[in-house]
Amino acid sequence: MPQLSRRRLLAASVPALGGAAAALHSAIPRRHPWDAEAQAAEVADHHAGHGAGSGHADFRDGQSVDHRANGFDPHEILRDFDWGTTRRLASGQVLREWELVATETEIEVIPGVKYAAWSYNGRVPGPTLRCREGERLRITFVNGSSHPHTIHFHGIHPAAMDGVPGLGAGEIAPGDSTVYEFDAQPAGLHLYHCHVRPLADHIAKGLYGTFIVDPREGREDADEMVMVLNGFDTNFDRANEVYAANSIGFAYMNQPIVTKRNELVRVYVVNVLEFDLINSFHLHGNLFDYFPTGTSRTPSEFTDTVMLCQGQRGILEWRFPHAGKFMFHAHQSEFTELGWQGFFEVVD
Amino acid sequence: MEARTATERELRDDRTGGLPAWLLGLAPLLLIVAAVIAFVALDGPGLGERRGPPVEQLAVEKTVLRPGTIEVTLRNDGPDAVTIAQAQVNDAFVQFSGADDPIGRLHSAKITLQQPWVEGEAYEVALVTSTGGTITHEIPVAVETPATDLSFFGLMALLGIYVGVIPIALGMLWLPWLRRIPPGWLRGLMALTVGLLAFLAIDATLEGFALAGEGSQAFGGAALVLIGAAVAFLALSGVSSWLEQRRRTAHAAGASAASSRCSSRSASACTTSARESRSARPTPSARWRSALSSSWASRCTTRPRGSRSSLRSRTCARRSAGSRCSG
Repeated sequence: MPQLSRRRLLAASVPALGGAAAALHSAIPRRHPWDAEAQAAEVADHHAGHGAGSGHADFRDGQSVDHRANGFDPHEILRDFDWGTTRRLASGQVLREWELVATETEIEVIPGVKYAAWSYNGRVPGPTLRCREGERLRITFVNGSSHPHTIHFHGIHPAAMDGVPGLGAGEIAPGDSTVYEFDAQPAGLHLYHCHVRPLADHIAKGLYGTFIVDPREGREDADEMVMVLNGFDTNFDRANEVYAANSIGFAYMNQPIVTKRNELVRVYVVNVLEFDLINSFHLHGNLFDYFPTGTSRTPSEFTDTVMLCQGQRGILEWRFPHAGKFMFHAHQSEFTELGWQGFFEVVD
Repeated sequence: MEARTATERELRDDRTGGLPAWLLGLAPLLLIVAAVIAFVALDGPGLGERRGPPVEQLAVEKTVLRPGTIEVTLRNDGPDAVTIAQAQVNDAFVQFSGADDPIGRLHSAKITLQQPWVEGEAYEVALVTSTGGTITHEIPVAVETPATDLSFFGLMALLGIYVGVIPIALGMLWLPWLRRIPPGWLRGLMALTVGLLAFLAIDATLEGFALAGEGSQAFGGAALVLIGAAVAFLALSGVSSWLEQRRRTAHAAGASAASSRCSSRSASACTTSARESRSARPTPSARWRSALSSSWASRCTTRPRGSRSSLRSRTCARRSAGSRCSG
């Protein structure tokens, strides 16, 4: 029998320890590459006959966000025009009034992903304010959030009503309120947004909306829609993780916008997208009359693609001569496959 | 003698209040246990809740590319659970399976992304977590991952033969020549060998660190390389020590029974015995043959006692004083 010294015991026990370590390591649950093939086949089966297996980019399994929990649905926002309340002033001019409240709202911008948004009246984009040219507009703004905000309207108005820091009421502190009042002009498609620094944050978090001034003589009857082109930077790297028309990516993919064949379609398109230099709108199977900013009654172009920088907007008008499904999306493929795409479903 | 012991005990008791020694040893231990239990039970009083969003950390342990899919094995090496909400490849949302539930700390998950990837092109996988964070993983050049079937293991074995067996076998062919060259040349060649081994050791260590840095750090990362090296060294020393012990025991038994065995057993047994006894007084060339085929660590311990060589003495003197060959 060899003598058992301490050193010998240590030396001899090391291989046993090594073996034990190896055994422990192999005990950690691991999957094997050959599992993957079966799983891939399973995935393929699973998606066959499913919305997500349509061949288009989409969220996982065609999921959508919880519109009810968000408090707004892009399908409702699409045709929701807020005319406010009106009364006639002594001068005979119509006074149109709204109240906008800035709040901090958590919204699901990607299925399974919550985003701490800032909103006007709890929705992103804010309400689509609509009025007629020449009316007196009075917008009461209440800041119900913990950061200072304003409402800066595009259009023609006095400097004090511009909604920027240092002019008029300037920044509205948390809990404070102010009234913006001016005449509705010019007729066209405009927008409003917060103008407090840091500007990119205040806009990108959701403080924006559409502001439509109808011409005195009105416009031809049409199936009217509003699309605010936006995106969300969920990881704060100053690049958007998701793109959309009316905030929720792929919303009009999984549930197309239904329109009637040969009926005039009018879409008010406003680009507020932050962080990306441009955005665009492209229509499939058709061309549209394009009215930049909606200020002229004569279309500038008959096209199927328009390019918009931030704040740029325009009115699109067309009729679908054929029934069926037609796509619309940004013609930046990246934006398209990150959410900004949808379908019109044309029915007889 | 007894009086002096009593005085010492008195002094001790005076300082400790007459408490028994076992209690003095046990009391602090019990206090530590009580403190730990109280700390856990009260959920670390005073430390407060951690502020801010959860820390999301996922390390990609493995990427497997098959036609039409990219499979990524993830390990959560952060403090909080991570929920993968959506996945993007090259700035486009993609369909995927796996990771349906939150991935807990140190747990792993495998997700399979549906991506018609093109060989030779670069891909960036971005996993969007429930907090909106993204965890990105770059695939610099997409190439199909070889299947782990019999031919794969055959190829690996062939590679092993190329790098581990053929060079050693060819090197061994120099033995007859080495036996005849002057000691000066031999020393030079040994120096070259040592330098080569040192280079390999440094190179392997650096590569080990680089590889360890890529994956999850939860299980030690680079430290694991050092631990692995230490365990391998100790394991080899242990085996070497055990073999030496066994050989010496066999040799001692063999020497006493050598005469009787030679007369009663086959010639081959006697030949083996004779070879063993010869190795007890090795010739210089036999010593170097042994040296060339063993590591520095094992050389000093496997060398038979009693042999004398000026070169060997110097070699071993540079090593630890406890080395057996110094005797």
